[in-house]
Amino acid sequence: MIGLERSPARIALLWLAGLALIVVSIAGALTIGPSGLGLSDVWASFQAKITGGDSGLSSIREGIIWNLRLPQSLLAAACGAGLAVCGAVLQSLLRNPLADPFVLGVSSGASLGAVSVVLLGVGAGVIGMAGGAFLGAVVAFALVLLLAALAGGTTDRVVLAGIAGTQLFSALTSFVVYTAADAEQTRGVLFWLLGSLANPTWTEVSTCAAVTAAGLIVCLLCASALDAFTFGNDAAASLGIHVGRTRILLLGVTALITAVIVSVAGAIGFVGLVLPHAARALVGMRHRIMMPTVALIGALFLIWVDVLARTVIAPEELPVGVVTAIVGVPAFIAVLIRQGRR
Amino acid sequence: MIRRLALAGCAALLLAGCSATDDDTPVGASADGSFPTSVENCGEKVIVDAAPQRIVSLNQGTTEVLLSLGLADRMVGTATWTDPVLDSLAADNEKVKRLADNAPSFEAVLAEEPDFVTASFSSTLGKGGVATRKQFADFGVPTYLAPSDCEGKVANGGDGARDQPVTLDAVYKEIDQIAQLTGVPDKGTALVDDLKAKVTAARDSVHVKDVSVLYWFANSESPYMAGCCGAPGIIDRELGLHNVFDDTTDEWPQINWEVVADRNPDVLVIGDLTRKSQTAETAEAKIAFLESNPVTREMDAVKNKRYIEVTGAEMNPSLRTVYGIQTVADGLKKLGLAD
Amino acid sequence: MSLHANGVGWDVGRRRIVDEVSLRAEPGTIIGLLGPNGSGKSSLLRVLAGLRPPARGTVLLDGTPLHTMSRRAVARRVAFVEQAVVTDQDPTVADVIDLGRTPHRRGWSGASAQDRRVLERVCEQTDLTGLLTERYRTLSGGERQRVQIARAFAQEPAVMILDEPTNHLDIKYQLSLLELVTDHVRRAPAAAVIALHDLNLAAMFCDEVLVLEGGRVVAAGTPPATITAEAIDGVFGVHATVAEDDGLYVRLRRALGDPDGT
Repeated sequence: MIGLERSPARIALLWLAGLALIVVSIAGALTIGPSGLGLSDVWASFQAKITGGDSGLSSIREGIIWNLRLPQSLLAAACGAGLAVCGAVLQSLLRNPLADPFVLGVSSGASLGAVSVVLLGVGAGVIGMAGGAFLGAVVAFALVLLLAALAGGTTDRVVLAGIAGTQLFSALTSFVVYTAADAEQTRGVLFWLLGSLANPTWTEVSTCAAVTAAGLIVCLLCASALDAFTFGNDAAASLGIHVGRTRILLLGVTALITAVIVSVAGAIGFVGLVLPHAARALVGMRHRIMMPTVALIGALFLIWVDVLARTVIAPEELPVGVVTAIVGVPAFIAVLIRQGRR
Repeated sequence: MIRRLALAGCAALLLAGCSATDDDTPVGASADGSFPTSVENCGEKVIVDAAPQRIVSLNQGTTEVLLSLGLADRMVGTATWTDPVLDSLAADNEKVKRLADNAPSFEAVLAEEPDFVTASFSSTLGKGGVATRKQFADFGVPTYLAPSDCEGKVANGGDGARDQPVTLDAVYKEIDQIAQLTGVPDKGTALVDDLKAKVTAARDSVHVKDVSVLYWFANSESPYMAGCCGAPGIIDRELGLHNVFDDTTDEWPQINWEVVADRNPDVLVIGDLTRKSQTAETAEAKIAFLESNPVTREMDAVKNKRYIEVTGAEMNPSLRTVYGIQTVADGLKKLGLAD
Repeated sequence: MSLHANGVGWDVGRRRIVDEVSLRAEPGTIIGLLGPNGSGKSSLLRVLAGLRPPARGTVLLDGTPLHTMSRRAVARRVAFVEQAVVTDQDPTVADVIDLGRTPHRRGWSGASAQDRRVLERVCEQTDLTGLLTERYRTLSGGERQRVQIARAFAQEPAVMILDEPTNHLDIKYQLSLLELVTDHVRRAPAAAVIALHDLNLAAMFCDEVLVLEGGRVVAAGTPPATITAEAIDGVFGVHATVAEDDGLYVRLRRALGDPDGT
């Protein structure tokens, strides 16, 4: 595996294979679901779309394939890639192998924003759940940074401030849910709090995809800087990096990506925590190579986890965050064991 | 999608020589069972172009309304069951596919190719539920939401508190509107009349003086008790009972047992639920708790075993509430408090 | 390229950690910084490396104040090596040495031909070509510091600033590391400022020595001139004799009962 780092050709091949796998996976996911539409139906519909003919499927069934399953898989890919990249960047930036996209309080802030809108009627119907979630995420992130700055601004302070923020906003979220929600609403909110990719609109899909892509590009442009942080802030500064500016930029970009993802899909855990370790085990730690790799792994992972979430207790749907945890833990253990053996 | 279907429907009617139907027809204009028909429902206009033949009901409340209207042959799916179905509807219910005991996925519902979907709770037709009403609309499927879950609650999405008590009128409205949208308005009227008669009979059979009650839904650590203004409030008003927790507008607040013991109601109406998600679901479990807990076993009602058991559905705002009124009335008679 | 510090001071709160320090590091020379813990060596080095702005005084690189230069410009000329750095990542030796090319590279670009040439040369210089694919964390302390030195060389610096690079290392590595630095300094030619704990090493490798105490320079000059018995007693609080035989040798005396008498 170490050899992979050194050969650009092998890396390129790996990435091409990853992209191909993603395309195949999305196509495959189109054929899986509780309504019994299978490969032949999808193929017939696809052909009909191209030739302009008739696929023989009802408009609802066509809609299931192209307006339900497809956006859901695409959203899974975008969220998986985005969360994985955010996790990787935060682990490098905060020099903490257990950092994940939610370490800065973004997800619990989003939860608080969302439940405030839905259960307390904050925003008077003007902002929906997604808008509330996004605002909550941004406010939480700002507060955490402020707290970190007040506490000294060093890396470990940022992590601690994030923990404090997460606990606070989670507690407030629980308080709101407990006092303001009836049983049915609790169920609805819970589903979202546990992460749900179900029934996204095309707007949600394109927003997530655009923000994730833009964020990935920014992070890639900072690949050198992220490498420079390997031995700490002083080492990075001595290598010519503007430590303060770079940190704010990257923290801000990851918070933005995470906020958008969480406001659309709730808190999907483990992707940002585990997959960066897998990517590093596969291609090494140089961010120029590692980040596109982790994005591809993230997309692939979440596409299939979503398929699982949709089918495992069909006709009901599991919150995807539950499945990422169940799948993520053994994956994490496998990565740790592998690293331990070296 | 709907617009296209609506236009097609209009064209068909024109050809049939009927007068053109305008999309702005006021509510009830097609109360003679003709189509297309529309109602104003929870802030949206529901337009149904032809008598639905593939109805999916996402909650037990609307399911029982549909079954009571004799529409079992036109239903293709039900979901979210909290209690056993009303006995009289059991045979019909067998004919309809149960999609899920809880909330099904959007795809599972669409797989039945519904042409009309009903629900009792706005959270079921919201984000985090099955799908939003707009998402159903994008697939060309009109949706109907029980008015009891959107009227009298805080305007945007509800916060579990009512500023106006729910009344049976909401249930009757639901029956009438569903009957209209499914093309059986006469059956709707008949059902409403029947329910009203049941209510009157129950009310007239008891003459209650100064009886206080509480309604315990579930959970023994932090029990859910009925507030003033949900379905139990209907039972109170019809039978002249006094809910000891009518000072709170929360529909199902969680109350501390000490407060409960302090208020010491005369009768305890306890829910007998069949689900297993919380503690003290069945009436048996509830009674066992009441009689063993050091705080509650000193209550007068517990010492004298003044319990009335009702099903969970009877405490939800639905037509089961009417049966709830009957059950509580019968219970009061048995306890000798009815005169 | 020379590094001049004039009246440099650095404070933490109201405490003056470094005060009125001036030095001139010219190409081809090594300046040693000596002093007990807490004498301000580390802070001074960080100011000299441009990592902290001086509270007082100036640091000039070939006449240009350091703080007017961009971070990248500084990093291309000044390399900084710390005592022992830790990382939670798992880089290979190649990854670490490659970090030295960071100031010569932009954002996402990969290795240029120039980068490859420099890296090859540096690996040869530091005899690390065989270890390139090893994981940094599997190396010994001495090997790791050699990798850090290689990384510093890869920056192609005109000035090297090293903060006690030989601490905790075996004698063999202490010597070989300082040989490496000396070699580079003479050949490039570059200037170097090294904080050292070991008086003998300072005497062996440094052209000039500054002795710090309480943040101020108490002695400056060639090793024989500054590393005297009085200075050692005064600054370090130990008795010693200094002998010159084929180089300077500092012999420390034990507090009670020394076999040689006194």
